Amino acid sequence: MTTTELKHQAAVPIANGKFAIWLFLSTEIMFFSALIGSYIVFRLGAPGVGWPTPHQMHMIEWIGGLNTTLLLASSAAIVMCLESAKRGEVKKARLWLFLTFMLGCGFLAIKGYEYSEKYRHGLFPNMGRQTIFDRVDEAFVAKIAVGTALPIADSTTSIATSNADSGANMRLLHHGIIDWANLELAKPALPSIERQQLLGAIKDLTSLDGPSGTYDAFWSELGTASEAQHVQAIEEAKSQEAELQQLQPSLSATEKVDPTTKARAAELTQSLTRLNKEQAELTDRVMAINKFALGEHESLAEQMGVPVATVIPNGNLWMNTYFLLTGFHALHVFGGLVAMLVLLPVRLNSARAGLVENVALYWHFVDIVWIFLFPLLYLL
Amino acid sequence: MAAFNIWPLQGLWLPDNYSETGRTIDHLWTLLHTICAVIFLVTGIVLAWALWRAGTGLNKATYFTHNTRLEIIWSIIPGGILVFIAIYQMQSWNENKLLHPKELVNGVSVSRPPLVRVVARRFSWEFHYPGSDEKLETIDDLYFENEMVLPYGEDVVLQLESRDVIHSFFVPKLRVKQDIIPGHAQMIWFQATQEAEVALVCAELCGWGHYAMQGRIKFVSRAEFDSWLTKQMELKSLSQKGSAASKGGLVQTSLETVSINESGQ
Amino acid sequence: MNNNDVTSQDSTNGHHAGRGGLFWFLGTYVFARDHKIIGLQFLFSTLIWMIVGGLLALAVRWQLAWPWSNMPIFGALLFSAEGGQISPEFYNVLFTMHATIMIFFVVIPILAGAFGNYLIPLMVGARDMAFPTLNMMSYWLLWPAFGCMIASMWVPGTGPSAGWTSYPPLSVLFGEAQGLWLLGLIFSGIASMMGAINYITTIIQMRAPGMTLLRMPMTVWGMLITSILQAFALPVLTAALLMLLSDRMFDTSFFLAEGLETPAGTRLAGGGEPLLWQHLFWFYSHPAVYIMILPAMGMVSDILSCFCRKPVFGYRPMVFSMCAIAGMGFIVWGHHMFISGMNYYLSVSFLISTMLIALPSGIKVFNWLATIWGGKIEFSAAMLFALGFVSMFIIGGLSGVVMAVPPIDIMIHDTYYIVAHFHYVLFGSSIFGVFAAIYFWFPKMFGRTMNEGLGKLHFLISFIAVNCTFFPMHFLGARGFPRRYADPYVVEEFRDLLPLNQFITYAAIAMAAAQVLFFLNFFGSLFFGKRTTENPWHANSLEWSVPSPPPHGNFDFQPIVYRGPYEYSVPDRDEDHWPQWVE
Repeated sequence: MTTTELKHQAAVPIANGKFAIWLFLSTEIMFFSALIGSYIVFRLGAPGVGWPTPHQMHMIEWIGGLNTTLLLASSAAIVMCLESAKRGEVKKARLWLFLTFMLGCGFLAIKGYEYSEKYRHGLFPNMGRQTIFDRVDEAFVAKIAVGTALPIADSTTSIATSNADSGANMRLLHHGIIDWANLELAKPALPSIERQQLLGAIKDLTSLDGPSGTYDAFWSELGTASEAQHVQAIEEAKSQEAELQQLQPSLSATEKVDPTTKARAAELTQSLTRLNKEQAELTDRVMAINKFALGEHESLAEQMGVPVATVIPNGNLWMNTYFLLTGFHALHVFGGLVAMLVLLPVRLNSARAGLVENVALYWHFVDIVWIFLFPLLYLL
Repeated sequence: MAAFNIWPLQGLWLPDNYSETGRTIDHLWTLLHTICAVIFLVTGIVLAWALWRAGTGLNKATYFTHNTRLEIIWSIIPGGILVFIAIYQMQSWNENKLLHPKELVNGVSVSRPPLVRVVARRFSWEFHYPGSDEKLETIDDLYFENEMVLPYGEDVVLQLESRDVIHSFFVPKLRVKQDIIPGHAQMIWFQATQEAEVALVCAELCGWGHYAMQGRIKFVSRAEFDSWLTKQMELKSLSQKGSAASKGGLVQTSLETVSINESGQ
Repeated sequence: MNNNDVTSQDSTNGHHAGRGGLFWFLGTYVFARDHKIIGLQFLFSTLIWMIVGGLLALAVRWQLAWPWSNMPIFGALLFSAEGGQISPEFYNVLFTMHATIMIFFVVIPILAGAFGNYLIPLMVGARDMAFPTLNMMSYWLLWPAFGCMIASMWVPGTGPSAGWTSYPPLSVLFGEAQGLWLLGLIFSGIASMMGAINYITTIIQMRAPGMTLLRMPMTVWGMLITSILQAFALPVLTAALLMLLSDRMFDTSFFLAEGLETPAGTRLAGGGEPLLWQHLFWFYSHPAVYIMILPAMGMVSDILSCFCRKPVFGYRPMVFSMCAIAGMGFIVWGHHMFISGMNYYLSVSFLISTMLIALPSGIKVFNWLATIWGGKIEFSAAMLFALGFVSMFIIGGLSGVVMAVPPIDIMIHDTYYIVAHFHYVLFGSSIFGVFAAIYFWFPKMFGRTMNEGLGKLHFLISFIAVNCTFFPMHFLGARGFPRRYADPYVVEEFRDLLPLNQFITYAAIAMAAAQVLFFLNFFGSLFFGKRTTENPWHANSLEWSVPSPPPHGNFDFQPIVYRGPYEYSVPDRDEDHWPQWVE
């Protein structure tokens, strides 16, 4: 048994490590092809009004461009590192590698900033699987209208229209509600109360002649109505409290309490608890509606128990693919940074140039993937 | 198919076929299995002969490494058979999946509209017939579960939809199968040849009750079908009025009042 | 598991310096970097997993023969809650796990992992794989993968029950354990990928001088092509699995269509495309079919040639048809989706590519027949299994051509005809090829031979039982008997098929019994088998030039290759074999 190396005839005149890196990169190409291919399928197959534009999704070209520049520069830097290592200039090589590492970190930092900007706009990777329509607003309004048992017809007819635009808006709203209600009705296992409400809503709306009211006015109306309910609840609570106060002396004065008084007192206490609860709920609702009017959709959604999606058509699929593509790219960048971190303390002389070259190959690949992602997500 | 009736394999071949388009499938089936049987026998005999010969006490194996002519022959002949199969099956595929049946409306040939909207859900089949407005997907649609009545002797187009997961509309005796992908409405068509009652099963795993997701399809003559449909519409409007009076305008299609069994014959 | 390795491998590793101590033990036998030990680890693990997968299949057969009746022994253990019966949910778990384990934990790792690892360096003349540590990681990653799989069966609620194809929306919206199942699959995929890169590098870069590509044994060709398929197809599956996992875990909707109903009754905005999963999945899983058969084809070619004492007929066409299968394997995935609702004109193009790929498969069969023709055949157990492989591949191949015709697929898609077909290919062919390989290379691996008589009995029972089990399934399929039915007899039309199903189950039990013989033979021979020399079969390829079992480092000489591996019965020579390494 000898430990000498055996002679081999290699088909490709490169080191095994480099050969394997090339193989690994080709598998990575297949991986990203699958992801980008899926993106193209989703994009071309997007129903309705089509795929959102980058600006709709708050994509800012110059930030993406800056990131592209950073990555390109880092690719150049790692080539310089490789060249220095080949010449045996260890210190220079380390400096170039450090520069590459920092540029990569810069890329990730900017990516992180972009992600946080998306979150700030309410654009999350997992938003909106729970809604039916691309025109989410209408479905949402319809649900809330039915949920609050608010007489839709009254609230909309009473609002006068001032311009054609908002009239069209309102018509859209009506149609949305009717569509939605019809779809809901098609569910075989629908509770009969809900069915009645839906039919009532359809009847009210179809009896309306033409446009009436504006979208914003609807919300203010809804707010006012809820406020009125709120006030009513408070009034009622006040009167009942007063009655209870009146009963109090007769309850505590004598040993033998009149059973009817006792019963009435119990009833009032109970009713007051209920009213207080209702009052709290209505306070929340009014606040939520006011917030909704300001564009903070989620709070009302939570309050009403009605899930709501991003109001951008096909927006949720856009977010899904955006986070999928950039997320996996960022993970690959991170992997490259870890490899560089491992290499940093190593003496990068000509004997170890192969190591640098393998990392550089991988880093160029990461760069190339970004070259594809940047136009797809920011420009097209 | 009675062609395959040898003990102990009686009844273990294609089931009866009640469909016009299914005939081409049966024809292809027989043809391909004949070709396969021949190839199987030939290769089997060659293998058996080679093995038997080897057992007769050769001293040394015959040394040969290749035979270009032989290899060309056995590449070209199967290749030819495969090309033939590929071309020959086109007609059947056309009829079954590509050529949507046409009909003449005011002298213009248009695609035949679907007769029934089939909605699959875990684990039942819903059949929606157009109501008096003769349009599907409106409020006056008639609705049945797991039992469908269709006319024979004419092209029937069905619109398939799924509410939840992937199902597959499979009627063995009509040679019809179509996966139903949620989000895609699929059209299928066939022409039944006679009065029959056939099983409809689900052929794509849809959950624990997959096996129980079955329906029945009954084929009746056009006249019977029309009178059945009219009767169903009357029954529905009656029940609607009744419920409107008592329940305040509820639309309800109850299966008790419009059951297929009552009105079939 | 590893105790087996240790006992069997003790003599193999006498060459380590400084033996003794826990770290030495762990490094040599557990986290071994030697390709032979890793190969054996793969072999023993996959054999154990095969028992698990086989028992699951028996449970499936039990339900189909005697639906809802109490299962003996296992029923009381597993389903005491249901009174010893299989519930419909658990039936779905059974066939899902049977397929998953058999495909991803038995057939693929036993071919590429066990035999690929053991044979590639020996056959090409290398000391070890190109990357021993990567090799070790590729094996050890399979255990977390298998752990996830098995654990997923016991997750409260429903186990993974969406079938091994895991079609969404079912796999996204239902089944609590599907996420764990997906994770297991991702792990096993990464493991396979590590292996594939390693094998390709070893084969391309580390061949002994004189071992040109066209002097490589068919086994090595099979492994090379398989690895290339793995390397290029698996990443696509990994991407799809990650997207499916994200649909389950992070509420994305890549594979969820607009407006579909959730179990809670709400409707989804979705917007995704359920069909996309099928395209991505079959883009991997069709090449996976070849991943599961090509190495077996290679090994069977070698075994046939050796026991016929004849060269493989048409070596070059054999190699080129393998390459053709690999190349075209990437463009035929759509024939799994003829009636899925994809564009029907697309079906026609997939039909044509499928017909094209049938051709090289046919050529391989003819070449095997010509290899056998005129041979001086020794009917050893290995040879019998190799012949079984050829005969059953003919049946599986022919039914494959039938199914490739779209109109026929309308009738038999998702019926037992499909089940019959792929069991002929995967069990009748691949697993028979594996058995042939085990009987053939067992002497090389352990320095002892397996019992020939028991081996022949194992073949006889297996061959009859496999045909009795899987051939009648064609008839079931012809009747339209759907697969994945917990109780098909609720459908009136299928009620008369119960006796045939009971027959199949009896045959399946006989098949399982035959495997008991195999395991007795295998483990018995590890200790009591007849000791053997370095080249008991008088074979030609390089692995027979080294002692059995080969020492660490494989070769104590510089192997130089002078000719192809199939120079048997060369006319002017007295000896009937002419090894590659003999000048």
